[in-house]
Amino acid sequence: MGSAQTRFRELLDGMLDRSSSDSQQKEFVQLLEANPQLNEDLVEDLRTHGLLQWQSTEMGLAAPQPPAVIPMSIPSESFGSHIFRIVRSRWTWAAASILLMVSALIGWQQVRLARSRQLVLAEIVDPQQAIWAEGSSALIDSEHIVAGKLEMTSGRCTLRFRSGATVWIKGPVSLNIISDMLIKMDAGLATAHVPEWAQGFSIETPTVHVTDLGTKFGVMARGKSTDVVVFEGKVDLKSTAQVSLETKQLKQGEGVRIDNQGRLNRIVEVHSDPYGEEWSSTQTPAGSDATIKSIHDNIPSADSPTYYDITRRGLRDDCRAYVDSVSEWNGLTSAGLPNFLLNADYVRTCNNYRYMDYLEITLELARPAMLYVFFDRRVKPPSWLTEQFENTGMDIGLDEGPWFKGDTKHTLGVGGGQSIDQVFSVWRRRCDGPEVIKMGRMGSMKGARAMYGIAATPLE
Amino acid sequence: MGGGGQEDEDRTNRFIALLTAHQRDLYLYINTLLLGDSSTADVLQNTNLELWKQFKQFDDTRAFLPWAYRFAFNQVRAFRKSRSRSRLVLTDNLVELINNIYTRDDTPADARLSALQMCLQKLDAPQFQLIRDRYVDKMTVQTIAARLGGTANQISARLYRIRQSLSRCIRETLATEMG
Repeated sequence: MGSAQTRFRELLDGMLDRSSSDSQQKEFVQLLEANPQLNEDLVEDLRTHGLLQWQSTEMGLAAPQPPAVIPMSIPSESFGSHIFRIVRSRWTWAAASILLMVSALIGWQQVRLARSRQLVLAEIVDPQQAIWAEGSSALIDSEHIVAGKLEMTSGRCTLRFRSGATVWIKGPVSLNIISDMLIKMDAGLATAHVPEWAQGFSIETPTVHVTDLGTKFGVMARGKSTDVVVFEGKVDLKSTAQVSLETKQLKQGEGVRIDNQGRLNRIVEVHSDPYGEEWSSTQTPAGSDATIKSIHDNIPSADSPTYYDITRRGLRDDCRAYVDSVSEWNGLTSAGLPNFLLNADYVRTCNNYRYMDYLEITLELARPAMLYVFFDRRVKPPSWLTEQFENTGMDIGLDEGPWFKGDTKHTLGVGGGQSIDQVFSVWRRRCDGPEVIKMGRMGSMKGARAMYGIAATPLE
Repeated sequence: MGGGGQEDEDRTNRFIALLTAHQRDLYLYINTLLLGDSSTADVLQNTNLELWKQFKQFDDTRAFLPWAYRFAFNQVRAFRKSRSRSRLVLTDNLVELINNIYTRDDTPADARLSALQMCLQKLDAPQFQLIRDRYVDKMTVQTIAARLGGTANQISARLYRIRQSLSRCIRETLATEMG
């Protein structure tokens, strides 16, 4: 039994991740059949294995202009199954279907109530030069919204819905408020922040129905396509033009453009303001004083619909380091980040790319700049870094934050020097013109690591 | 709306609440019978649809989970039938045996999950990193072995030992909570 148990342990994880050979599978089954006690061990282990799978998935997905968007190399139907493989927690799909059933029921009840009583569905918060178009029937006074048409020709404002969802909109935008769980958007840009209790909140455009699964996401509708970008959590996408296509799910750090045929294209870069409100999935906003103009990589679109977020003047203590995790950049001491980095443009890269062995990132500067790379000190600096950049001798820290929901061992600290988990050296390169720089993979050595960060400050 | 309509709506709402509340239990059950196969989500969805179709037959004075497990087991069998035998790891007899062992313990998955969250905090850094590689970054044992050095079998045995200590910790935590 002792040797059988040892062999069972050696074979088990290969069975679970399906990397075992046919002969190993046969041996595994023979072990179980010959040693009944192993079945008890197997059941107990599979319970914990399933819980760990479940737990890990709760961790915390203008006109098109290349290279902001790269067409998917496979048809949308197969992308659907592919994207599911990437982003679907093995359980969330089914849980989401239940949620959708519940949301549909709740949504229908709320629509019915709103129509019968003309309930106030939302209030307008913090309007900034908001100009409303005539015929905005949803506007009953300067502060309150009921079901109906809402058009803002210019300006910005936040709509706080009774359901708990908050939607930031930027004019020109044309909305039809259906209920406090559903708005239709013909054109314009909206960023929705939906607390867990308002899961199921939806934004529908002429090409896609976006259902929140507890998240912060952005939608930009224009003409025959819609851009959807997930800043936190997850959303479900359903083509409204091609209803036969299956529902797709996007998670934090992922963004796609969906057209009126239901085709999906990866959004490669998103430009954000440092306050987390305004964003653009097209090229650098016109008239911008950005230092980093654009970024793209060599990753096949079908491998990952992850975007890079270029945050203008955004580098400061406690700013998000990656698009796909909660980790934050910080100074190593309470003095915070070095002064020369403060308010730099920076790129939130994808931490999941840290083991990708063929990665090549291409970054284009908008003006002469000092370009910085933050590189994990646990990893030997690769040649692309040492040959193009010089080590400043300065270090900064990465506060990784919780590794999964409920993790109290790793938490996010506030301010410099708090809860630093990893140390990164700061490398720099002076670029006297609007250069194009290529950066590579993290390196081939073994061991834990975190993805590098990128920042740039304009030269005086 | 008449009384009957309201009653139906209440019953529907109660059923949706039960189904939603037991998604983790059903997932863990199906995932166990399928030996962690990636089709668990599909089988769970089929189970949900079947339960939804049959919910009028559900006697809501009785426990939901044993009733739901029967449908889930049938869906697992249907799934296994749809797969060629060469792709099935476990035999029918072993699946029956695992089902019998699994359904003896009715501790809710939510309670186990809460206990797991506490137990994860007790792992040391290398153990935590290994769990993270395997479950968060979804690395295979072969990839982890290539990264850390060693063989896939050694990594599998290490993962088993970590899960075993987590299972023990979960049992002890639940026993303490139940007093």
